[in-house]
Amino acid sequence: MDGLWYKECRQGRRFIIKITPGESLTDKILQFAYKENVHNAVILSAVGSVKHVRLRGIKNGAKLPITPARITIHELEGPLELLSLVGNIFPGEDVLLDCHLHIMVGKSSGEVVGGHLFDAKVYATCEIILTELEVEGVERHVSASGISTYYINGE
Amino acid sequence: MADFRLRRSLLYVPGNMPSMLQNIHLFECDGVIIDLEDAVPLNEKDAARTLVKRFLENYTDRNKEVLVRINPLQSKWGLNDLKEVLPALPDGIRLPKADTPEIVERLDTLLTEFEEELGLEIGRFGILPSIESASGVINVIDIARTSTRIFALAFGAEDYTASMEIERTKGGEELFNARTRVLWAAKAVGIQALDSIFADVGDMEGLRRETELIKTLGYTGKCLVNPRQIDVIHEVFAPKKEEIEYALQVIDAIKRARLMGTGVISLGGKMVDAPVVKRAARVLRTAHAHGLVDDIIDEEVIYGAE
Repeated sequence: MDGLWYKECRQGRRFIIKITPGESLTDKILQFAYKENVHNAVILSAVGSVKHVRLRGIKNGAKLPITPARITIHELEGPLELLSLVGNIFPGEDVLLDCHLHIMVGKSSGEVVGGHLFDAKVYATCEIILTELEVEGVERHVSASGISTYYINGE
Repeated sequence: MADFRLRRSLLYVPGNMPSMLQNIHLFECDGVIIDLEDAVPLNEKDAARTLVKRFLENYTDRNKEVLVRINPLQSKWGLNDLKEVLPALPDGIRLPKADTPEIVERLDTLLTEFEEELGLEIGRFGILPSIESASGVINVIDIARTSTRIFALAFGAEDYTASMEIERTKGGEELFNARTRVLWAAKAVGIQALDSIFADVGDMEGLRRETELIKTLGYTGKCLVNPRQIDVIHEVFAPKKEEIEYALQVIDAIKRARLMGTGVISLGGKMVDAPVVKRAARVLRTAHAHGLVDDIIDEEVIYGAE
Protein backbone atom coordinates (compact mmCIF):
# COMPACT_ATOMS: atom_id res chain seq x y z
CA MET A 1 0.00 0.00 0.00
CA ASP A 2 1.35 3.40 -0.93
CA GLY A 3 2.66 5.42 2.00
CA LEU A 4 1.88 2.81 4.60
CA TRP A 5 3.32 -0.46 5.91
CA TYR A 6 1.65 -2.83 8.31
CA LYS A 7 1.96 -6.20 9.84
CA GLU A 8 -0.51 -8.19 11.86
CA CYS A 9 0.47 -8.92 15.43
CA ARG A 10 -1.14 -10.72 18.31
CA GLN A 11 -1.50 -9.78 21.91
CA GLY A 12 0.81 -11.57 24.27
CA ARG A 13 1.07 -11.23 27.99
CA ARG A 14 -0.38 -8.27 29.83
CA PHE A 15 1.45 -6.65 32.72
CA ILE A 16 0.46 -4.40 35.54
CA ILE A 17 3.50 -2.31 36.47
CA LYS A 18 4.14 0.10 39.28
CA ILE A 19 7.24 2.28 39.40
CA THR A 20 8.30 3.70 42.74
CA PRO A 21 9.11 7.34 43.56
CA GLY A 22 12.40 8.74 42.31
CA GLU A 23 12.92 6.13 39.58
CA SER A 24 13.43 6.98 35.91
CA LEU A 25 10.39 6.15 33.79
CA THR A 26 12.28 5.15 30.65
CA ASP A 27 15.01 3.19 32.45
CA LYS A 28 12.53 1.22 34.51
CA ILE A 29 10.25 0.39 31.57
CA LEU A 30 13.22 -0.94 29.61
CA GLN A 31 14.62 -2.83 32.63
CA PHE A 32 11.24 -4.48 33.08
CA ALA A 33 11.16 -5.48 29.39
CA TYR A 34 14.60 -7.08 29.58
CA LYS A 35 13.72 -8.94 32.76
CA GLU A 36 10.48 -10.37 31.35
CA ASN A 37 11.94 -10.96 27.90
CA VAL A 38 9.39 -8.64 26.33
CA HIS A 39 10.66 -7.68 22.87
CA ASN A 40 7.67 -5.80 21.55
CA ALA A 41 5.05 -3.98 23.58
CA VAL A 42 2.62 -1.11 23.72
CA ILE A 43 1.79 1.02 26.73
CA LEU A 44 -1.97 1.01 27.14
CA SER A 45 -2.29 3.35 30.06
CA ALA A 46 -0.20 5.22 32.59
CA VAL A 47 -1.28 7.39 35.48
CA GLY A 48 0.56 8.88 38.39
CA SER A 49 2.76 11.89 38.90
CA VAL A 50 6.20 12.84 37.71
CA LYS A 51 8.98 15.37 38.24
CA HIS A 52 12.14 16.44 36.39
CA VAL A 53 10.40 15.94 33.07
CA ARG A 54 12.53 16.50 29.98
CA LEU A 55 10.63 16.63 26.71
CA ARG A 56 10.90 18.22 23.33
CA GLY A 57 8.75 19.96 20.77
CA ILE A 58 9.52 20.55 17.10
CA LYS A 59 9.97 24.16 16.05
CA ASN A 60 7.50 25.82 13.74
CA GLY A 61 8.41 25.41 10.07
CA ALA A 62 11.22 22.92 10.76
CA LYS A 63 12.22 20.76 7.82
CA LEU A 64 13.51 17.22 8.13
CA PRO A 65 15.78 15.86 9.42
CA ILE A 66 15.00 16.72 13.02
CA THR A 67 18.27 18.04 14.44
CA PRO A 68 18.96 19.71 17.81
CA ALA A 69 18.60 23.17 16.20
CA ARG A 70 15.08 22.25 15.07
CA ILE A 71 13.70 21.27 18.45
CA THR A 72 12.98 23.05 21.69
CA ILE A 73 13.76 21.14 24.85
CA HIS A 74 11.61 21.81 27.88
CA GLU A 75 12.62 20.90 31.40
CA LEU A 76 9.90 20.93 34.00
CA GLU A 77 10.86 20.45 37.60
CA GLY A 78 7.35 19.52 38.75
CA PRO A 79 5.85 17.63 40.40
CA LEU A 80 3.19 17.30 37.71
CA GLU A 81 0.23 15.00 37.18
CA LEU A 82 0.99 12.30 34.65
CA LEU A 83 -2.03 12.55 32.33
CA SER A 84 -0.87 10.37 29.52
CA LEU A 85 2.06 8.27 28.46
CA VAL A 86 1.78 6.58 25.11
CA GLY A 87 4.36 4.67 23.21
CA ASN A 88 5.88 1.37 22.34
CA ILE A 89 8.90 -0.84 22.78
CA PHE A 90 10.69 -2.58 19.92
CA PRO A 91 14.20 -3.92 19.43
CA GLY A 92 16.52 -1.19 18.28
CA GLU A 93 20.05 -1.19 16.92
CA ASP A 94 22.10 -4.20 18.05
CA VAL A 95 18.92 -5.91 19.33
CA LEU A 96 18.87 -3.61 22.35
CA LEU A 97 15.34 -2.64 23.25
CA ASP A 98 14.28 0.91 22.54
CA CYS A 99 11.17 2.77 23.62
CA HIS A 100 9.45 5.68 21.93
CA LEU A 101 7.29 7.60 24.39
CA HIS A 102 5.16 10.72 24.25
CA ILE A 103 3.91 12.32 27.44
CA MET A 104 1.26 14.77 28.62
CA VAL A 105 1.55 16.31 32.05
CA GLY A 106 -0.70 18.68 33.95
CA LYS A 107 0.42 21.68 35.98
CA SER A 108 -1.24 22.78 39.24
CA SER A 109 -3.08 25.41 37.19
CA GLY A 110 -4.64 22.70 35.05
CA GLU A 111 -2.61 23.67 32.01
CA VAL A 112 -1.25 20.76 30.04
CA VAL A 113 2.09 20.44 28.33
CA GLY A 114 3.43 17.54 26.39
CA GLY A 115 5.81 16.25 23.80
CA HIS A 116 8.36 13.60 22.97
CA LEU A 117 9.69 12.28 26.26
CA PHE A 118 13.40 12.05 26.95
CA ASP A 119 12.97 11.14 30.59
CA ALA A 120 11.06 11.81 33.78
CA LYS A 121 11.31 10.70 37.36
CA VAL A 122 8.34 9.22 39.18
CA TYR A 123 7.02 11.52 41.88
CA ALA A 124 4.39 9.78 44.02
CA THR A 125 3.61 6.73 41.94
CA CYS A 126 3.32 5.52 38.37
CA GLU A 127 0.85 2.82 37.38
CA ILE A 128 1.30 1.37 33.92
CA ILE A 129 -0.67 -1.26 32.03
CA LEU A 130 1.35 -2.76 29.21
CA THR A 131 0.63 -5.37 26.57
CA GLU A 132 3.22 -7.53 24.94
CA LEU A 133 2.90 -7.82 21.16
CA GLU A 134 3.72 -11.10 19.47
CA VAL A 135 5.36 -10.20 16.20
CA GLU A 136 8.67 -10.71 14.47
CA GLY A 137 10.59 -8.64 11.99
CA VAL A 138 9.94 -5.21 13.47
CA GLU A 139 12.97 -3.16 14.46
CA ARG A 140 13.61 0.41 15.41
CA HIS A 141 16.23 2.37 13.46
CA VAL A 142 17.14 6.01 12.97
CA SER A 143 15.42 7.12 9.77
CA ALA A 144 16.36 9.77 7.23
CA SER A 145 14.00 12.09 9.10
CA GLY A 146 16.43 12.10 12.00
CA ILE A 147 14.25 10.19 14.42
CA SER A 148 14.22 6.61 15.57
CA THR A 149 11.24 4.82 14.07
CA TYR A 150 10.31 1.20 13.57
CA TYR A 151 10.83 -0.63 10.31
CA ILE A 152 8.60 -3.53 9.36
CA ASN A 153 10.25 -6.48 7.68
CA GLY A 154 9.80 -6.29 3.92
CA GLU A 155 9.43 -2.51 3.97
CA MET B 1 29.10 39.96 30.73
CA ALA B 2 31.43 38.69 28.04
CA ASP B 3 28.74 39.03 25.38
CA PHE B 4 27.83 42.59 26.35
CA ARG B 5 27.66 44.56 23.13
CA LEU B 6 26.82 48.22 22.85
CA ARG B 7 23.72 48.76 20.77
CA ARG B 8 22.90 52.35 21.64
CA SER B 9 22.27 53.35 18.07
CA LEU B 10 21.05 51.22 15.18
CA LEU B 11 20.81 53.31 12.03
CA TYR B 12 18.37 52.39 9.27
CA VAL B 13 19.96 52.51 5.84
CA PRO B 14 17.66 52.08 2.83
CA GLY B 15 18.68 49.03 0.84
CA ASN B 16 18.02 50.75 -2.47
CA MET B 17 20.38 53.69 -1.93
CA PRO B 18 23.97 52.90 -2.97
CA SER B 19 25.26 56.27 -1.70
CA MET B 20 24.02 55.54 1.83
CA LEU B 21 25.24 51.95 1.77
CA GLN B 22 28.71 53.05 0.76
CA ASN B 23 28.91 55.39 3.73
CA ILE B 24 28.03 52.74 6.30
CA HIS B 25 31.62 52.30 7.40
CA LEU B 26 31.82 56.05 8.13
CA PHE B 27 28.80 56.31 10.41
CA GLU B 28 29.65 56.26 14.09
CA CYS B 29 26.60 54.31 15.17
CA ASP B 30 26.93 50.96 16.92
CA GLY B 31 25.11 49.14 14.16
CA VAL B 32 23.12 49.49 10.98
CA ILE B 33 19.88 47.95 9.83
CA ILE B 34 19.92 47.74 6.07
CA ASP B 35 16.31 47.98 5.08
CA LEU B 36 14.66 45.90 2.40
CA GLU B 37 11.18 46.48 3.80
CA ASP B 38 9.43 49.83 4.18
CA ALA B 39 12.20 51.98 2.67
CA VAL B 40 12.16 50.07 -0.60
CA PRO B 41 9.33 50.63 -3.13
CA LEU B 42 7.65 47.50 -4.45
CA ASN B 43 9.15 47.85 -7.91
CA GLU B 44 12.68 47.97 -6.46
CA LYS B 45 12.52 44.96 -4.13
CA ASP B 46 14.51 42.64 -6.39
CA ALA B 47 17.13 45.22 -7.33
CA ALA B 48 17.59 46.32 -3.71
CA ARG B 49 18.32 42.86 -2.37
CA THR B 50 20.94 42.30 -5.08
CA LEU B 51 22.46 45.67 -4.24
CA VAL B 52 22.57 44.81 -0.53
CA LYS B 53 24.11 41.43 -1.24
CA ARG B 54 26.89 43.03 -3.32
CA PHE B 55 27.46 45.69 -0.70
CA LEU B 56 27.80 43.12 2.09
CA GLU B 57 30.17 40.99 0.03
CA ASN B 58 32.46 43.99 -0.42
CA TYR B 59 32.12 45.29 3.14
CA THR B 60 34.71 42.87 4.45
CA ASP B 61 36.30 45.18 6.98
CA ARG B 62 33.23 45.34 9.21
CA ASN B 63 33.42 48.01 11.89
CA LYS B 64 29.91 47.75 13.28
CA GLU B 65 27.07 45.29 13.67
CA VAL B 66 25.20 44.76 10.40
CA LEU B 67 21.59 43.64 10.39
CA VAL B 68 19.23 43.35 7.45
CA ARG B 69 15.54 44.08 7.79
CA ILE B 70 13.91 41.65 5.44
CA ASN B 71 10.34 41.87 4.23
CA PRO B 72 7.85 39.98 6.40
CA LEU B 73 8.12 36.21 6.04
CA GLN B 74 4.43 36.19 5.17
CA SER B 75 5.12 38.39 2.13
CA LYS B 76 6.29 37.15 -1.25
CA TRP B 77 9.71 38.78 -0.79
CA GLY B 78 10.78 37.61 2.69
CA LEU B 79 12.22 34.23 1.75
CA ASN B 80 14.02 35.58 -1.31
CA ASP B 81 15.54 38.32 0.84
CA LEU B 82 17.06 35.64 3.06
CA LYS B 83 18.30 33.58 0.10
CA GLU B 84 20.05 36.55 -1.37
CA VAL B 85 21.59 38.26 1.65
CA LEU B 86 22.52 35.42 4.03
CA PRO B 87 25.44 34.13 1.92
CA ALA B 88 26.90 37.64 2.24
CA LEU B 89 26.95 37.15 6.02
CA PRO B 90 25.08 39.88 7.87
CA ASP B 91 25.26 39.52 11.67
CA GLY B 92 21.54 39.06 11.92
CA ILE B 93 18.06 39.62 10.61
CA ARG B 94 15.56 42.16 11.80
CA LEU B 95 12.20 40.47 11.43
CA PRO B 96 9.33 42.89 10.84
CA LYS B 97 5.81 42.01 11.97
CA ALA B 98 7.12 39.55 14.56
CA ASP B 99 3.60 39.18 15.88
CA THR B 100 3.69 35.57 17.11
CA PRO B 101 6.25 33.10 18.50
CA GLU B 102 5.49 30.87 15.51
CA ILE B 103 6.66 33.37 12.91
CA VAL B 104 9.90 34.01 14.82
CA GLU B 105 10.41 30.26 15.14
CA ARG B 106 9.85 30.00 11.38
CA LEU B 107 12.73 32.41 10.83
CA ASP B 108 14.84 30.47 13.34
CA THR B 109 14.35 27.20 11.46
CA LEU B 110 15.00 28.88 8.11
CA LEU B 111 18.26 30.34 9.42
CA THR B 112 19.27 26.86 10.59
CA GLU B 113 18.69 25.54 7.07
CA PHE B 114 20.77 28.31 5.50
CA GLU B 115 23.58 27.81 8.01
CA GLU B 116 23.65 24.10 7.17
CA GLU B 117 23.68 24.84 3.46
CA LEU B 118 26.41 27.47 3.80
CA GLY B 119 28.48 25.34 6.18
CA LEU B 120 28.24 27.89 8.97
CA GLU B 121 28.05 27.36 12.70
CA ILE B 122 24.43 26.82 13.78
CA GLY B 123 23.28 29.96 15.54
CA ARG B 124 25.61 32.31 13.64
CA PHE B 125 22.78 34.56 12.44
CA GLY B 126 21.00 36.51 15.15
CA ILE B 127 17.36 37.58 15.22
CA LEU B 128 16.00 40.98 16.17
CA PRO B 129 12.20 40.68 16.25
CA SER B 130 10.21 43.86 15.66
CA ILE B 131 7.39 44.15 18.15
CA GLU B 132 5.17 46.54 16.27
CA SER B 133 1.53 45.55 16.58
CA ALA B 134 -1.03 44.89 19.28
CA SER B 135 -0.54 41.14 18.68
CA GLY B 136 3.22 41.49 18.95
CA VAL B 137 2.93 43.33 22.25
CA ILE B 138 0.53 40.73 23.64
CA ASN B 139 2.77 37.83 22.54
CA VAL B 140 6.13 39.44 23.25
CA ILE B 141 6.85 37.42 26.39
CA ASP B 142 6.55 34.14 24.47
CA ILE B 143 8.34 35.62 21.46
CA ALA B 144 11.39 36.51 23.57
CA ARG B 145 11.75 32.87 24.63
CA THR B 146 11.38 31.44 21.14
CA SER B 147 15.00 31.20 20.12
CA THR B 148 18.48 31.63 21.56
CA ARG B 149 19.27 33.60 18.39
CA ILE B 150 17.28 36.56 19.73
CA PHE B 151 19.80 39.04 21.15
CA ALA B 152 17.35 41.92 21.66
CA LEU B 153 13.74 42.95 21.14
CA ALA B 154 12.99 46.01 19.05
CA PHE B 155 9.90 48.08 19.67
CA GLY B 156 8.44 49.68 16.55
CA ALA B 157 6.25 52.61 17.52
CA GLU B 158 5.23 53.72 14.05
CA ASP B 159 3.63 50.43 13.03
CA TYR B 160 2.36 49.87 16.56
CA THR B 161 0.41 53.14 16.62
CA ALA B 162 -0.88 52.37 13.13
CA SER B 163 -2.10 48.96 14.29
CA MET B 164 -3.76 50.63 17.28
CA GLU B 165 -5.33 53.30 15.06
CA ILE B 166 -3.90 56.05 17.24
CA GLU B 167 -1.60 59.01 16.71
CA ARG B 168 2.09 58.79 17.53
CA THR B 169 2.84 61.78 19.73
CA LYS B 170 6.18 63.24 20.69
CA GLY B 171 5.42 62.80 24.37
CA GLY B 172 4.89 59.09 23.77
CA GLU B 173 2.24 58.64 26.48
CA GLU B 174 0.32 56.32 24.17
CA LEU B 175 3.35 54.01 23.97
CA PHE B 176 4.02 53.60 27.67
CA ASN B 177 2.36 50.24 28.30
CA ALA B 178 3.67 48.64 25.12
CA ARG B 179 7.21 49.92 25.72
CA THR B 180 7.16 48.57 29.25
CA ARG B 181 5.86 45.17 28.22
CA VAL B 182 8.59 44.79 25.60
CA LEU B 183 11.13 45.70 28.29
CA TRP B 184 9.75 43.14 30.74
CA ALA B 185 9.99 40.43 28.11
CA ALA B 186 13.57 41.37 27.24
CA LYS B 187 14.76 41.63 30.83
CA ALA B 188 13.02 38.40 31.81
CA VAL B 189 15.18 36.46 29.35
CA GLY B 190 18.28 38.60 29.80
CA ILE B 191 18.45 40.29 26.41
CA GLN B 192 18.51 43.93 25.33
CA ALA B 193 15.55 46.12 24.47
CA LEU B 194 15.87 48.64 21.64
CA ASP B 195 13.47 51.50 21.15
CA SER B 196 11.73 52.80 18.08
CA ILE B 197 12.89 55.55 15.73
CA PHE B 198 12.25 59.24 16.34
CA ALA B 199 10.98 60.41 12.98
CA ASP B 200 11.41 64.20 13.25
CA VAL B 201 15.02 64.60 12.20
CA GLY B 202 14.93 68.35 12.79
CA ASP B 203 13.85 68.11 16.43
CA MET B 204 17.00 67.25 18.38
CA GLU B 205 15.49 68.31 21.71
CA GLY B 206 12.53 66.00 21.14
CA LEU B 207 14.94 63.19 20.29
CA ARG B 208 16.94 63.87 23.45
CA ARG B 209 13.80 63.86 25.62
CA GLU B 210 12.57 60.60 24.13
CA THR B 211 15.98 58.95 24.45
CA GLU B 212 16.24 60.05 28.08
CA LEU B 213 12.78 58.63 28.72
CA ILE B 214 13.52 55.23 27.22
CA LYS B 215 16.92 55.05 28.94
CA THR B 216 15.16 55.71 32.25
CA LEU B 217 12.69 52.91 31.50
CA GLY B 218 15.52 50.47 30.83
CA TYR B 219 16.08 50.43 27.08
CA THR B 220 19.73 50.05 26.08
CA GLY B 221 19.48 51.53 22.62
CA LYS B 222 17.41 53.19 19.96
CA CYS B 223 16.89 52.88 16.25
CA LEU B 224 17.36 55.96 14.13
CA VAL B 225 16.69 57.19 10.66
CA ASN B 226 19.38 59.82 10.17
CA PRO B 227 23.10 59.82 11.04
CA ARG B 228 22.69 63.28 12.55
CA GLN B 229 20.76 61.66 15.41
CA ILE B 230 23.70 59.47 16.49
CA ASP B 231 25.49 62.01 18.69
CA VAL B 232 22.43 62.90 20.76
CA ILE B 233 21.67 59.24 21.40
CA HIS B 234 25.25 58.45 22.41
CA GLU B 235 25.36 61.47 24.69
CA VAL B 236 22.23 60.35 26.49
CA PHE B 237 23.39 56.75 26.86
CA ALA B 238 26.89 57.66 28.03
CA PRO B 239 27.08 57.42 31.81
CA LYS B 240 27.44 60.87 33.37
CA LYS B 241 30.67 61.76 35.16
CA GLU B 242 28.88 61.83 38.52
CA GLU B 243 27.31 58.43 37.83
CA ILE B 244 30.72 56.92 37.13
CA GLU B 245 32.28 58.50 40.19
CA TYR B 246 29.50 57.25 42.42
CA ALA B 247 29.70 53.77 40.88
CA LEU B 248 33.45 53.65 41.57
CA GLN B 249 32.78 54.69 45.18
CA VAL B 250 30.19 51.92 45.50
CA ILE B 251 32.62 49.30 44.20
CA ASP B 252 35.30 50.58 46.54
CA ALA B 253 32.87 50.45 49.47
CA ILE B 254 31.72 46.92 48.76
CA LYS B 255 35.33 45.75 48.48
CA ARG B 256 35.96 47.19 51.94
CA ALA B 257 32.79 45.55 53.21
CA ARG B 258 33.89 42.16 51.90
CA LEU B 259 37.22 42.56 53.73
CA MET B 260 35.21 43.11 56.90
CA GLY B 261 33.24 39.95 56.18
CA THR B 262 29.94 41.62 55.31
CA GLY B 263 27.95 42.22 52.12
CA VAL B 264 26.35 45.48 53.24
CA ILE B 265 27.99 48.82 54.03
CA SER B 266 26.96 52.44 54.33
CA LEU B 267 28.19 55.01 51.81
CA GLY B 268 27.38 58.64 52.53
CA GLY B 269 24.52 57.55 54.73
CA LYS B 270 23.01 55.25 52.09
CA MET B 271 23.05 51.49 52.28
CA VAL B 272 25.15 49.70 49.69
CA ASP B 273 24.10 46.09 49.11
CA ALA B 274 23.95 43.63 46.21
CA PRO B 275 21.39 45.47 43.99
CA VAL B 276 23.27 48.77 44.39
CA VAL B 277 26.55 47.04 43.53
CA LYS B 278 24.97 45.41 40.49
CA ARG B 279 23.70 48.77 39.27
CA ALA B 280 27.13 50.33 39.80
CA ALA B 281 28.76 47.49 37.91
CA ARG B 282 26.37 48.05 35.02
CA VAL B 283 27.22 51.76 34.92
CA LEU B 284 30.93 50.93 34.87
CA ARG B 285 30.47 48.26 32.23
CA THR B 286 28.70 50.79 30.01
CA ALA B 287 31.34 53.41 30.85
CA HIS B 288 34.04 50.93 29.87
CA ALA B 289 32.32 50.32 26.55
CA HIS B 290 32.33 54.09 26.01
CA GLY B 291 36.06 54.19 26.83
CA LEU B 292 35.41 56.23 29.97
CA VAL B 293 36.94 53.79 32.48
CA ASP B 294 39.77 51.31 32.07
CA ASP B 295 38.75 48.34 34.17
CA ILE B 296 35.88 45.90 33.92
CA ILE B 297 34.39 44.92 37.27
CA ASP B 298 34.64 41.18 37.75
CA GLU B 299 31.83 39.01 39.04
CA GLU B 300 33.53 38.38 42.35
CA VAL B 301 33.30 42.05 43.28
CA ILE B 302 29.56 41.99 42.66
CA TYR B 303 28.69 38.71 44.31
CA GLY B 304 31.69 38.02 46.58
CA ALA B 305 33.77 34.83 46.56
CA GLU B 306 32.17 31.55 47.63
